[in-house]
Amino acid sequence: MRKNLLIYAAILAGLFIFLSILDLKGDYVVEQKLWKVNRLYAEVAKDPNAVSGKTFDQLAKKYQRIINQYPKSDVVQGAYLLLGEVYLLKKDYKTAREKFESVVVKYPDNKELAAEAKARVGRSYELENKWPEALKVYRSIIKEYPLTNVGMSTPLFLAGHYKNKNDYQNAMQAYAEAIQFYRNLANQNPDTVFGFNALRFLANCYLDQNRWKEAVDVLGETLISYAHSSLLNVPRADLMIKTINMIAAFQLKDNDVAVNVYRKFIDKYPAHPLSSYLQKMIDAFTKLEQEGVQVSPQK
Amino acid sequence: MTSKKTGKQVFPLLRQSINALVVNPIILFPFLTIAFFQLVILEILYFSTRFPLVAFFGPLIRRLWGEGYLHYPFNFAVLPMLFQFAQIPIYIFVSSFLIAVAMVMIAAINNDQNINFRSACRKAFPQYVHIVLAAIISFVIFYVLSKIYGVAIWRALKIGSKSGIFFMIKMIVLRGAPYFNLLMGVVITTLFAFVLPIIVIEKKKILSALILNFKSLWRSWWFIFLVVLFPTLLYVPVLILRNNMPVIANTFFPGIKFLALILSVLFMVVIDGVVYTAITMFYLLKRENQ
Repeated sequence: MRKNLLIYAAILAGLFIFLSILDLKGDYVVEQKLWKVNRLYAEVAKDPNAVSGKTFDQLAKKYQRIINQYPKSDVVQGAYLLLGEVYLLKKDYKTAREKFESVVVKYPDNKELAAEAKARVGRSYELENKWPEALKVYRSIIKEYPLTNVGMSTPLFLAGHYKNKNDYQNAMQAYAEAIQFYRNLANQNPDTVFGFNALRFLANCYLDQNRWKEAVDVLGETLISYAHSSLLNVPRADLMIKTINMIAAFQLKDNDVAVNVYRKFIDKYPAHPLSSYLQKMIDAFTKLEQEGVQVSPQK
Repeated sequence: MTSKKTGKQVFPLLRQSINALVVNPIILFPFLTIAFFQLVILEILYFSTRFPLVAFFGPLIRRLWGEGYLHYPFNFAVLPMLFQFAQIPIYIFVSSFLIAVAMVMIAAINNDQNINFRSACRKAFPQYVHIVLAAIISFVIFYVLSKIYGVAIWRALKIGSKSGIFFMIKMIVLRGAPYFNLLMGVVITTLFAFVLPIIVIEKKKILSALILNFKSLWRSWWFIFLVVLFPTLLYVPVLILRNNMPVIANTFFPGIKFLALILSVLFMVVIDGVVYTAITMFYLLKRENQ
């Protein structure tokens, strides 16, 4: 029995070693190493003011070591950004920007990553209270990377920035520019994920400004334009319908706004799976109307 | 090996079972072989998100849980679930047979016969189909009970109370899930306690084994239940450890989830060894008395 148990143990150990060796240079090992350093980063990020400069340098060194060790790994791309973040925490904004900009140079084909790196350059200027420089970077992101997640969210981010600062005039202008940007993008990229996301951002622009009727119109347009697209999945459609209902019932106090959108959808796609659901919505609104029930928001 | 003194006393029977394992460690070998198979599967699953196994497991994990679970440390979140799935065929086709082999060994030792693992396998093998059928029946019942408990969990999730009796019920149902599962395992092991000894010792077919099992179980139900329950309670610390795994893994390192699974496999070797030895010894004693 002892001999057999030794054979079992040897097989288990051998298999473990064999499979470990096969993936010695794989991304998994990089992920493991990065996770450990990221944990340290999270600790430092909790209260950067309480951390000595030496700790920042050690952390940066750890990221740099992983980058040097696995230069071809895809996972390392994220490590570059985190390396820049370490210098942001250290308030060494110049070095942080150098690190972020090196990502743009190193991975010019990865638009999403480059846009993300540029956004962080913009943030570094913001942290340094250099808004004009930050604005310049953000505008370049909109121009150079309009079809990335960062590029698409930046116009709304800029408008939100001014709104939060109570800078009414600039906020109005930024919203107007954002609306124009998203409208153009939606028109230029119909039936694509970019067009779909552009419409969602457009609706958010109107919602941010309490322009309820226009927001409902855009949400209705999205439902109708992307009715047969996989982009309009159940959770997204549900969220849009709920938003339309809320706006109609509570903000506009005009149920017909929602009913009209749903009627338009049913007329265009009578056999669509959503149509029966929307018909139920119409029936519910009609019943509320007949009974004279005024719906108030949940507390 | 069996002593009439133990009669229907739980602890003396369990003590005798442990003594039998210490004196005849060969009985543990089938259980260690089960653990070996489980650990091989666990190792393969541990490496399932890495080259070259990711080529096979990647699409499956991506489809069931999403891309994120192919990467460290989220791969450890799906490892226990994957291992649980993999244990079903292991239990039905391998573990049940090896438990039966252990029972053959106990019966042979009880009759003062010389036995080794290979000859015990040879003796049990002709009954393989019936052993597998018995395993399938007990698994199906376990599955049905789990589904019923799943409905209870679904209902509990709908309870909106933040305090009071309903909140207490909700928390018991939700937090108690692993312990209820353990209890279900104990009940099902008790329910089919004598099926395997009857199949391999008496050479009966599955149907008559089931009938004889329920006959033997008549008036012994609570006794067998306690015989199964007490050693199984050893598993509770492992369950507590596994329930608190998110916190523990966050404090130490995510790979600790893998170590916890190894620990649970090793615990089960001891528990199964004691439980099935005790059940077989009690069955042999009952048979001698009759």
